[in-house]
Amino acid sequence: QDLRLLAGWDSSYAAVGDVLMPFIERLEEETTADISINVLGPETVPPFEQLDPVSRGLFDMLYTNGAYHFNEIAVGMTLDAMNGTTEDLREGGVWQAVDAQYQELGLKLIAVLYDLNGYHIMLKDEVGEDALEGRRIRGTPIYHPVIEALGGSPVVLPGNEIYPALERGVVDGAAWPTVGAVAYKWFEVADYMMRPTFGQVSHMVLMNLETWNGLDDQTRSEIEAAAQSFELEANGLFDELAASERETLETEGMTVSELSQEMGEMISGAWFTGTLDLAATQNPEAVEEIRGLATEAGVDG
Amino acid sequence: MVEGIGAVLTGVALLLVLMSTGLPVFAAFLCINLVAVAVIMGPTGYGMFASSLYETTTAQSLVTIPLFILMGEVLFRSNSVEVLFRSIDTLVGRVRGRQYVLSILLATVFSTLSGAAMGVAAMLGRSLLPGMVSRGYDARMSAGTILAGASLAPLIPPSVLVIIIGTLAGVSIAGLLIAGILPGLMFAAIFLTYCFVRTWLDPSLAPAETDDAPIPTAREKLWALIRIVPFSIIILMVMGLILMGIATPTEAGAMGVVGSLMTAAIYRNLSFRMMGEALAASVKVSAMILFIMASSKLFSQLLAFTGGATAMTEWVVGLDVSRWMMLFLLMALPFLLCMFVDQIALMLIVIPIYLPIIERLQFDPIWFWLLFLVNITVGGMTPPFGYTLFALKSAWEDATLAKVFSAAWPFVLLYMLGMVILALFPGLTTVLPSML
Amino acid sequence: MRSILRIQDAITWAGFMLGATALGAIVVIYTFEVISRYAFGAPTMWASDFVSFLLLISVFATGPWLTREGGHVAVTILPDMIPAARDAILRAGFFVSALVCLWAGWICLGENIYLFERGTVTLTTVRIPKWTLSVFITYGFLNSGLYFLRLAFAPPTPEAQNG
Ligand code: NA
Ligand code: NA
Repeated sequence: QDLRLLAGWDSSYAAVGDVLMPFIERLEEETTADISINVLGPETVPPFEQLDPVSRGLFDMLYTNGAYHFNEIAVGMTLDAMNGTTEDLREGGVWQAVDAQYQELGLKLIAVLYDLNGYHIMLKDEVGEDALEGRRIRGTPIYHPVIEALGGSPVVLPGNEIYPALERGVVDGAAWPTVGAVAYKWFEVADYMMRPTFGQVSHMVLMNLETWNGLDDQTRSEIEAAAQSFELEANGLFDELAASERETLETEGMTVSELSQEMGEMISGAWFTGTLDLAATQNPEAVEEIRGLATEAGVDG
Repeated sequence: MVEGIGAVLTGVALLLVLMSTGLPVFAAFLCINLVAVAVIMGPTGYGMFASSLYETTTAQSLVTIPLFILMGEVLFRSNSVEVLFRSIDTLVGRVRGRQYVLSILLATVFSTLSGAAMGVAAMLGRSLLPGMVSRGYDARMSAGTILAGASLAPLIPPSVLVIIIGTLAGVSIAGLLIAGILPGLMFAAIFLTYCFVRTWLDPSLAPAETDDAPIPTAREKLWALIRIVPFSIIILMVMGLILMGIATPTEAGAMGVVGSLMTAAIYRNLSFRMMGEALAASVKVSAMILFIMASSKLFSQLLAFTGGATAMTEWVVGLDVSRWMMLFLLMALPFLLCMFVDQIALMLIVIPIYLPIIERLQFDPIWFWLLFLVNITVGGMTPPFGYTLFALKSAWEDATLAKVFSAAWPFVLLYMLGMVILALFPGLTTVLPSML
Repeated sequence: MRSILRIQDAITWAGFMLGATALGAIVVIYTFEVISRYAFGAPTMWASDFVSFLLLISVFATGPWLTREGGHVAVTILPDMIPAARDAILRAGFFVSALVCLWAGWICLGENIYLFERGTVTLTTVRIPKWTLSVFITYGFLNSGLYFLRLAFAPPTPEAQNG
C-alpha cells in the first residue's frame, strides 16, 4: 500500500531528514504488509493549512507540530508544554487523551517524536540584570507568556523575516526551537543563546482515521509497536542533533547567556501555564482534562 | 491520472493554449487548477483550492506589492516625478539618455527595498514611465530599464530569495549577499552601456538637447539640488528606516507611502481627493496582480502533489551530459518553470535535488546559487508569461502586452549575456565572499 | 433587468470602495505599529494580523469592479491573429471565465459553510472566525463571474478588452 505523508517542513530541516526519514524506513521494515510511504512537503500544502486535507483523506499521514493547527485543535500544542518522555506521557494517559481528541477530527495519533531540548531565545546582546526587560523579541503567540515573564515585548513576525529583523535590530532576539539556527544561518546575525531552555518540541505523526481503520489488525499493531519504540530512539536522535547544532553555533561564535536560577525556574512554569491557557481558548474541556492528567503524572513543566 | 513529467507538460501546454486565446491570465490558471483538482482529487481537493487562495492573499510578504503601487500612484499624482526629472536635467547636464540611468537606479533601489519586483514595476510604470515618455524618451527602452532594474533586486540585500537559498542549500547567507555585489554592478554596467550605445546609434531614443539652452549656473544647480530634497524623503523613509532597524522591509512600504504623501505636501499637491484617487487606482492594480498570484498558487502545489516537478528535475539531473551542458540544463529548467510556478515553491522542489549533482560536478556553491538566483528572477520578466510583465502592463495604461514584451526582450538577452559572463568568470562571484 | 444590473453595480462599487479603504487602513496600521514599537517600545500584537486580513479584503472586494472595467490582464495572441473572429473568441473567453469564476465561487461558498460549521478561527495572535474573511473570496469570484457573463453577452462596443 502506498501512503502519502504530508510534512510541515522541507527535507533540509533536521527533524525531517534525520528523524522522520529513519522512522519511515522503520515503519516500512517492521510491517509485514507491503507499505511504502511517500513524503510531500510544504511546497504541496503550506504548513499551516495541512491538517484539513489530511483529515479529509487527501493525504494519509501528517508530520507536524500542534501549534501549526491550534486554530482547529489545540490539544496537540499542549504536548510542547510537557516535561517528560513519551513513555511518561503514555503511562500518565496524556498521550491517549490527545489521541482521542484527534480521532474526533478523523485523525489517529501514531507517534510523538520529541526533541527534549526544547525552545530557546537567540539574542543580540547578553541577558541583562532584569532578564530581557524592554527588549523586543520575535515570537508566535505560544511564546508570548515566556517573553513577557522575562520582561520583553513580543513581536509577531513570520519566520523568514527573522534573519533581516535580527540583522537590522528590528528585534533584539527571536524565540525558536534549539535546533534551527544553523540551518537558517541566524548565527550570522545573533551572538547569544539564552539558557536554560524551556518546553520540549513535539513532532507529531498523524494518520487519517479511515486509512488507519482500513489497515488490517496485524499491520496496525506492528505500526503501534514500531512507533512506540522509535519514539524513545527519536529522543536520542534529537539529542545528537542538538549537541552538534550547539557545537556548530559555538564555533560560529555564538555563546550561551544564562538566566538567573530564579528566572530559569520561573520561565518553565510560565511556558507550561501559558501554553495550556492558550490551548484552552480553543478546546477548554479537552485541555483541562490534559492539564489534570499532566499534573497527576508529574509532567507539568 | 496524469503523473510525473506528463503532468508538468500537460499542465503547461494547456495553460499556454488557454492564455493565448485571450482568457484573462488569472482565469486561465483557475480553469486548469479547478479541472485538475476535480480530475486528480475530486471534491476532497476543493479545500486545498480554497486555502491556496486564502494563504496567498493573507501572506504578509505580499503586502509590499499594494504599498509600493500606492507610493507610485501618489508620486505620479503629486507631480514629484516631474520635479525630479527637471533637477536631474539641470544637474547632470547634457548626457544624452541620462534619464535611463535614473529609471534603472530607481527600479533597483525600490525593488531591493520592497523585495517585490512586481510591485515596483507597477509603481514605476505608473509614476516614472509616463514622465519619460512625455519628455521624448523611447517608451520601450524606458519600460525595459524598469523591468531590468527591478529584476536586479534579489542580488542586493535585503533579499528574501537569498535567505531561502542559503537555508535550503546550506550556503552562507552573508556570503551569497556579498557575492551578489560585483555581478549586480556588472549587470547595471551592461544595461547602461546598452542604453547609451543605442541612444548614440539612434538619437531618436532620447530627447534632443536644445543647443541654445544656457548652461545652468551654479545657483541654478543648487536650486535643482534643493528641489529634489523632498523626493529623497521617500528614499530615506524606505531605505533609512530599514537600515536603521526601525521598520521591517514590509512595513517600510507603508513608510514610503507616508514619505510620498509628505513629498506631495511639500510640493503643495496633497489633498484628500488626491489620496482617495490614488487609493482607488492602486487597489485595482494590486488586486489584478494578486488575483493572478492567488489563482496560480495551486498550480505550483499541484505540480508538487503529482510529483511532476520533482520527476522532471530528477530526470534532468540524471541525464548523462557534459559538465557545461548540465549547468545549462540546471539553469534552463527553473528558468522555464518560473514563468508558471511560484519562485519559492520552485526552490523548495528543485534545490534539494540539485545539491548532490552540484557536489558531484564540483561546482562552487556560491557561484552556482548566484547564477540560479539571477536566473529565476529573469524568468519572471521573460515573455510571454512573466509575472513582472503583467504587473507593468496593468500600470502602463496606454500599452499593449505585445509592447511590454518587446520592451522586455532586449534586457532578457542582456541578462543572458551577463549570466554567460558570470559562468565563464566565476571569480566575479567568488572573490568577495572568499575575503569574508 | 436593468435595475437588477444597477443594483449589482452599486454593490460592486461599494466593494471597490471597501477595498480602497482597506488599503488605506494597511498604511495607517503599519505606521502606527512602527511608531509604537520604535518610539514607545510597545509593539502591538494585532498590527500584522490585521494587515494580512485587510490585504485579503482589499483584493477580493475590489476584484469584481476590476472585472467590470475589463481590467484583468490577458495575452490576446490568438484573437489578434484572426481579426474577423476576434470579438467571438474574446466573448467565448469571457464566457469560460464566467464559468470558472462561478465554479470557484461555488466551491469557496461550500468551504465558507464548512469553516462556519467547524467554528475554525484564523491562526493568528488575534483570532477571528475564518469564514468572515474567506467569505470575501466567495464574493470576489461569484460577482466577477456575473460580470464576465455580462461582458460575454453585452451588446457590441467598439472598445475591446485590453490586449
Ligand atoms: Na513493509
Ligand atoms: Na533585494
